[in-house]
Amino acid sequence: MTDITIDHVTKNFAIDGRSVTAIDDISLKFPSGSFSALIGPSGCGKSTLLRLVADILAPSAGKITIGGTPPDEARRRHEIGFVFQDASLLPWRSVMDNIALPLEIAGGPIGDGPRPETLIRLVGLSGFENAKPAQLSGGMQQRVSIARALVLRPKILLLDEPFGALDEITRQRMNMELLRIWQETGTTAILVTHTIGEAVFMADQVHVLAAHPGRLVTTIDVDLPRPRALAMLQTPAFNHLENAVRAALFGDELKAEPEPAHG
Amino acid sequence: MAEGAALPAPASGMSRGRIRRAIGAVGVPALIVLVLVGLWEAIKDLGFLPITVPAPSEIGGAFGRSYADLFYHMGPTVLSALSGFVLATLIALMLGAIAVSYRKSEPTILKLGIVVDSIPLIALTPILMVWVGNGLPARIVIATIAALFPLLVGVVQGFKAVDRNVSDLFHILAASRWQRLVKLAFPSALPYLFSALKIAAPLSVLGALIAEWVSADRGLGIMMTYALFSFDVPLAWLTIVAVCCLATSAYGLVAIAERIVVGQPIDAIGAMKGNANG
Ligand SMILES: Nc1ncnc2c1ncn2[C@@H]1O[C@H](COP(=O)(O)OP(=O)(O)O)[C@@H](O)[C@H]1O
Ligand SMILES: [Mg+2]
Repeated sequence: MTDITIDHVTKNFAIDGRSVTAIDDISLKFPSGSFSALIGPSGCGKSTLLRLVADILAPSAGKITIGGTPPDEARRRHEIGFVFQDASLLPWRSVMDNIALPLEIAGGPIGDGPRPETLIRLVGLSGFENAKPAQLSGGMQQRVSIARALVLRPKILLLDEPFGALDEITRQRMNMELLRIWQETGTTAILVTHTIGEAVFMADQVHVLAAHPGRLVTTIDVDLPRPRALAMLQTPAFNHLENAVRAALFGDELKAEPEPAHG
Repeated sequence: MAEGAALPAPASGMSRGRIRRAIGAVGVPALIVLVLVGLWEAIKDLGFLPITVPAPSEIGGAFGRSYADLFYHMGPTVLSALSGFVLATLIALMLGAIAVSYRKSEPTILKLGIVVDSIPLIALTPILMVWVGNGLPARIVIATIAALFPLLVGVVQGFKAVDRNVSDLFHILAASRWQRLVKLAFPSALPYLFSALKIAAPLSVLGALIAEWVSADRGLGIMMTYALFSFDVPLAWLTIVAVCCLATSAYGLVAIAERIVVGQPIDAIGAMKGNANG
């Protein structure tokens, strides 16, 4: 069981000697094997929250556990996969060698972890094994980054706006692939996004955050069946969920009457 | 998705263009040098230059007379300079690795570098020779000190030029200090390192030269002082030209090594091929 619990977590940063609260007393639970989305305006602490889970940062107050253990233990057991907004590949390594990097660092596969060759096929990059990142498009680079995050068979997969820099069509396609990969691997996934449709389409639960300070507004359960299909985007149920997320994001702003046009 | 589409063969016009460009790269500077040397010769002939500046033809004459001497003295200078250069690189890499692995030590290490760099080598050399004798080791030490500081700055800067996300990734992967150094910091630092190596290579030649001025029985430095003391102006200038050639070659060799190791920017065809796919 690799559920993630965030228990009354607060994170303060010191900026110019002042203390700024990036995350204010957030409690969340990510069930084992689920797909969750974090959505909220820029600066509401989405990246900070992921970095706390990945043990890149330590909370100022509160507690985080991954499968019942502290994040740094999960990290040392190589249970955490992370995908950044920009692919963050090593430019001097080929596609194959970038994907194999975690294996080199961990000293071999974890359990019956996938082989890099298998992952290259899984993310649709066959034939590009020896290409350098600079020879790939943004979408292809991000596929490499996802393959790299999966090579140690992580129990949890953290994705920080992974397709934010891609065009709509490519992003939709990548999302479909991501869901397929997630279902094959059974990891607990947390996706940070600022696109309402993407959050609803991908997740079992959408957590809506607000900024200044970063806090949880509400959680919306998405009861759409799996596997998700593009046709669902046009269903009333989908629109209804999108509206619920929108209402949580914008609050009273949505109810305000439009300004009457002056003639 | 198009599977690894084959690259189109380079058009034959490209290689011809490359030859033309090579002629441009070598031919034009050569022509300029030739014209300048010709001007110099003419001005000297007209009597406009003092006795301490020989005509290029006189320097050529000195080469004809003394080329055996020149090469006899060049060997030890190359040896001291090269040894100093390699030693300085190793020391800079070691100190740089310590500076980035233990962040608190960085200011101290850099300040130490500045202090060492600001020692006047011409004054240090005799003192050093009292300690370690006036043999090869002393000359290597001076060449090392001459080249050290730019290398240290380059290595520290390079080691710090690591992408923040990739650095976080190494943390998530629980990489050891050594893995971080070898797999991340060092490759990231290579472009910076090569810039520093290009500055340091000629400096190590000058360091070796300074050490030889003070004391040596063989070397371009001692040949230079000998020529000066015996008022052999063309010979003195010949040694100057030889030192310039050594320093320039040192730079050039590092530049060639840089091309081989760091490589050329990705070509347009490769980039286009990537963008054609989702
Ligand atoms: N390393 C840091 N140092 C100081 N402040 C930070 C740091 N990281 C994030 N912050 C601050 O925390 C807040 C939340 O940032 P972030 O988590 O990046 O938001 P999001 O990803 O939702 O856009 C912002 O106000 C940001 O300025
Ligand atoms: Mg962010």
